[in-house]
Amino acid sequence: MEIKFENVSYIYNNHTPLSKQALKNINIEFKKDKINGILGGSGSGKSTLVQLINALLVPTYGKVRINRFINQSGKKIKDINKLRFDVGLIFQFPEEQFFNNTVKKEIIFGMKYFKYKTKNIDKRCSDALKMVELDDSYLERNPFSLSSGEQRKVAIASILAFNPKVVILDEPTIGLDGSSKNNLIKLIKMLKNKYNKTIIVISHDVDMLHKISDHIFVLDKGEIVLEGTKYEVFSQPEVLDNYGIKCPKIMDFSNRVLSKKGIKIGYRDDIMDLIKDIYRYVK
Amino acid sequence: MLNNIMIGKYYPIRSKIHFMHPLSKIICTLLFISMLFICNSIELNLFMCALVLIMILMSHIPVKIYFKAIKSLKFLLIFIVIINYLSHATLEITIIMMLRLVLIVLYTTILTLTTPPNEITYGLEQFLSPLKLIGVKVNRIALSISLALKFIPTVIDQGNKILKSQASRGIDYDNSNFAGKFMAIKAMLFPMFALTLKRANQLADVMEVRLYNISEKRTNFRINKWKFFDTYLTLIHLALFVAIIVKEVVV
Repeated sequence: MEIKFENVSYIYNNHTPLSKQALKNINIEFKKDKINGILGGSGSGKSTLVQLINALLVPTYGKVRINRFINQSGKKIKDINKLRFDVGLIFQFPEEQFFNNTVKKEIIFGMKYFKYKTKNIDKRCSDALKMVELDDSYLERNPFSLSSGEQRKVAIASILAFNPKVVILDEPTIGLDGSSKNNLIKLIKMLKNKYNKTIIVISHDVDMLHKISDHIFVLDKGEIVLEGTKYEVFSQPEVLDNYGIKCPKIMDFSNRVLSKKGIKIGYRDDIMDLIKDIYRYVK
Repeated sequence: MLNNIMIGKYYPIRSKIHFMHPLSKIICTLLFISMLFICNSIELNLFMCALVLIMILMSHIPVKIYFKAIKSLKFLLIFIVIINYLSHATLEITIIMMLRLVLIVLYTTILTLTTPPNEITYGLEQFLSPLKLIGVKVNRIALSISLALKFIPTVIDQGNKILKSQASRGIDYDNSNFAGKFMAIKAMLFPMFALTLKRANQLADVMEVRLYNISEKRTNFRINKWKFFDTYLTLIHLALFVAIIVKEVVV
């Protein structure tokens, strides 16, 4: 599914003294069927960027192409629900996105309003919960009474339930413990590899983004300052440092070995592979 | 989505009205509202419209912001028309009632757009201070009002977030008909209530942690000075109030 930003700018409260430019002249294209990471400091415009994809916001200038839909100022999108059916957005704070009193109602909400043609909504609901490692005992629980990690999982399940082609996750690892974080990483990888979904992940967590992303965009003060594969982006630690972003630990190690000892051990995604490389080199 | 609600939103620019003492603004607002309830003819109500218009122009805030405030009243105005029609009220009374509502909202919007919530609380505290003599705890009332005013934009933001979440899953408030809008609002009420209570508890905890003590005498960060313009505008309002009482009640 094509997602392309063409000269997009977004200004909150435009033409008022409270106006604030969140995005400046963005020209990017998200990679189809890949995991796209968006990296940037607080207030750099990451959340605004993804809300434009889901047409929750309309660009002040420029246009966003999402497959056959065009989101631009002054033109209403016909069949906006079809666009939102294709693009599932999981918000930054899941507790703010619940509006039903049971987990089941929360998960079937999307299917119900998108007029999802499935005879077995209940089964889909249980499957979505299973994907995020929750069992059916959660179905009748109140989403507001769950822990923040569980709430995040329910929020993800409620989007996965209607099977969108694009999944956008806004800061998905906040509030998750170590093992839940690893499971989420596995889930995101599975969504890409098994179901060929285009995934967009916003995060501050460079280590997590390094583990999962294929392509990374770096945002700073509303502008795209770096773009490329994760190796291209993270092999420039000095540039990233200017924007207050640190390199992932595993790549930082490789960069230090190269700069201090002049030994090129290369970049690896997994720590075990890196150890094997070092062992081979020492041997 | 819920951006039309202007209550409790401060519009930071420089104007004569912005620089007025909050107490004078509150007195003028109360005098204005009292006058409105005495005015029983369309001519006098139109005169009040002119007064509001002058105040709006003096506030230097774009008129379209005030239109937004009126726009959110449309259902209430329709309700007034229906009730008046059912009770066989004359057209004149219906128009006066609608004008009254619009003017009250506009005048109070001038107050909230030109005065930050903290200043309104300060003004209210000053306004109610004579009640201290009879043992009323004015600072508690002022604190409650201040918290309520501060909560309005928070609750609206909260509502916007829920509406966005609903929109991303099928109910689009902006692009749906009346039934869809009703569904969206209905689904929003429960979480709004739950989250507002949660926020209120958090706020209470934060105040406790920061050693807030209501019985201590509090000083103000900003000291407001009563200027000539405050006296001038208050006197104009007072003179109008007396004139209207004389015209409508005494004569």
